[in-house]
Parts: sequence; structure tokens; C-alpha cells
Amino acid sequence: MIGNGYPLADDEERSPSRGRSVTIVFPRATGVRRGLVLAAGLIVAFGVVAAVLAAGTGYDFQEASGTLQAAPLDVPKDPAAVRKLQARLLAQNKQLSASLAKLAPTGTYIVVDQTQNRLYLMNGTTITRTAVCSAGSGMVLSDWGGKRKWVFDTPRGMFKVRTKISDPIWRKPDWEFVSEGKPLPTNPADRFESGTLGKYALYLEDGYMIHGTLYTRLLGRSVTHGCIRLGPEDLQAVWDGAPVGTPVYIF
Amino acid sequence: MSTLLPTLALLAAGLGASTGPAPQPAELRHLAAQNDLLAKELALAKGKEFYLLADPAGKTLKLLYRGALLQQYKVDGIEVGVPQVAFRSRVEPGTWEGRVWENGALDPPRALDRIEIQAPPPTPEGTEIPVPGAPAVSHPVRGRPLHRGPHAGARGPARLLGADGRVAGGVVG
Repeated sequence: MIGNGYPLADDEERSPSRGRSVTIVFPRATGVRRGLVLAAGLIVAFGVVAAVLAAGTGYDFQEASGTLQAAPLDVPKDPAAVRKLQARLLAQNKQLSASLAKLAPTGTYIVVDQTQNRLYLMNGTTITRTAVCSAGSGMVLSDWGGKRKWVFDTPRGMFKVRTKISDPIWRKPDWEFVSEGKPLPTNPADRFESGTLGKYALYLEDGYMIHGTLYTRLLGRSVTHGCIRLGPEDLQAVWDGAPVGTPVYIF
Repeated sequence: MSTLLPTLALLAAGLGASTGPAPQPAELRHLAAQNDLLAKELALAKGKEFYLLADPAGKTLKLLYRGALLQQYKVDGIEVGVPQVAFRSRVEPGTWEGRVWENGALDPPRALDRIEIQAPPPTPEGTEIPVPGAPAVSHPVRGRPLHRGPHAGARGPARLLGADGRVAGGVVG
């Protein structure tokens, strides 16, 4: 039943609520109330204008010309002081350039582009070899009980070739057994497998490596558990060209 | 005599530097601006984040990490944003040029489509679970046609324009 049996006022509405009648009464606007509403409206409008003025109305994009803008600098009038300032600025420039050059790798280094699945063997700023590789799939694996979770990402950052192993033997981690629906081995010897990593492995850190693969058809795709896979020829080139200590940049 | 000649040449160069015409103020201001830029780049190179260097004159965008050049992208243009207030320019557009990007990030950030796999219950024989295939090399990566990066310390975003509105990828060297 809607209503309470009494006639509704002009500004009353009724709505059902769980079978019981509810009456909502809207008060009549008086002159004072109208004034308050108007004042509140003006305050809001003023706030909006102030916000626009403070935050702006967006950006106007203009082409950057690439010309270096002069820095604000107080240049003295005295020629000797000007020369002194020039000498100081030149020395600063030399020192900054040297510090910057010192940070950049000078010899051989490796760059891995995970997005394109490419590995670059570099010498200075020259690419000496471009290789199609495979990086981490980014998949997430949960075990049957939901207690453990693995994320198969290749880490980003700077690493170094810590060790180089010929004919490496793979020690299968837990996730390999979990993903195959097998129980974890009680005998540690059951974890070792040869041939899977190809002819060479270059250990980075935390178990991540650059190694070979049996699945060369998948090179160029993000399919690994975090390691970087290479084809046999490229692996040989990296093995020959990257000694222990070679910086490896992964992005 | 032969060892004396370079010494004399150095002395002459030193005298020339101290007695020659004093450099113009514009020259010094340009040098100061160059130093500012180098100092900013050095701060980025010493940090632990990847960073981008935009070169509007060379029309390139360089990805670096700790001073190492990782990738160089060719772009058709680099534009800088000038904040507008009530449709009037707040600053002179010229002050945007020659800046180093700081804290660059894609906006919105690139979404990662992760595939989650639930392992089957362990059995002595094991169970093969179908793993969805990874995308091929040629698989297009969805992105915004226009890349816009906010940079701290600046007054607005910068954006990169590639061919057909896309950032063209390139390789270092």
C-alpha cells in the first residue's frame, strides 16, 4: 500500500519501501532559503573559475626546436672576471663530461630488449651482433594447493656475467615439477637434466642465465621462465665475445 | 729543442687565452646551460632508473640506464606542452627546449596481460597442461598513437610524434 490514507501535499512524494508506506516531504523554499541557495551557487561557480585559473585549461603543444636556451647567468663587466668565469664553466663542463663518460660502458656489453626479444652484443656504441632471443613469458603459475606462486618475468636492470659454463646441466626448480603435475622429487639427483640449456650457459644472478634451447622455433617469442634463450650460432658468438664480468643490460 | 717546442706552444696558448678578447655573455650563458643539462644527465645516469633523453634537433629518443645507451628511437618530432590559462599562454614556449626528461613514464602505464595457470594435482605420471601460446614477434602491441611523458621539474608534458602518429622504433648504432 502506498500512502497513509491522507491526501498528498503539492511537494510530497511517496515511495514504496518493503511494503510499508514512506512519505518524503520537500520543504517549501522561502525567500531566505532562496538567497542561501543562490549564494551557495555563486560560491561553487567562483570555485570552478578559480580552479581553472589555478590549474590551467590544458596544454598547447609546440614543436621543440632543439636549440639550447641560454641559462640565466650574471656575467661580470670586468674582462678578467669574465675570463675567470669562462675558465670555471669550461672546467665544470670537462668534469661533468668526464664523469658521464666514466659511467658508460666502454668495452663489450650485452643489451637485451625484452619487448622485441632481441639481444645485442655491443662494443662501445657499435652493435657487433644482433640475435633473436626469447625472454620471460610473464605467466603466473600457482601450485595445486594455491600456496605457492611463480611469476615468469625476466628481471630488468644491469647485471654481469658471473660464470660461464660449457655443457651446462640444468637443476630443475620446483616450478618445473609443479607445472608438469608431478610431485617434488625426494632424490636430488632427479632434478638434474643435461642438454636442455644448450651448449653454453652464462650465469647472471639469482638463477637467471643466458643459455641455449631445444625449442629454437620459439625464439623471438616471450616463452621462458625468466632466462634468456638464444639459438646455437648466436649463443656461440655471445660465448666467444662476452667474458666473465661483461655488463648485461636488460630492459 | 724538440721537447721545448710543445712547452712553448702551450705557453703561447695560455697567454693567448688570458689576453685575447673576453667571451661574449651569450657564449657563457650557452655554456652554463650546457653544464646544467650535463649535470641533470649525470644525476639520471647515477640513479637506479631507466631514463630517456630527447634530442629534438637529432629527432631521436635515447633509452639509457646508468649511462649506457640501450636503444635509440627515431621520432618525427618532439613537442613540448605549454600550460594554458583561460586560453592564454602561461609561459614563453622557448623555455621548454633543451630540457632532460625526468621520471618519464607512459601515461597510462602499459597494461600487462598476464596469463595465470593453475597447476594440476600432482600424480606420479604427471599431467600435461595446455599452455596458451605466446604472441608471435609480429604480434602488434597495442599502444597509444601518441606518447606523452610527464617530466618532473618541467611545466607540462612532452610528447613524441612518429610516422603515422606512432613512435618509430630504431636500434642503437
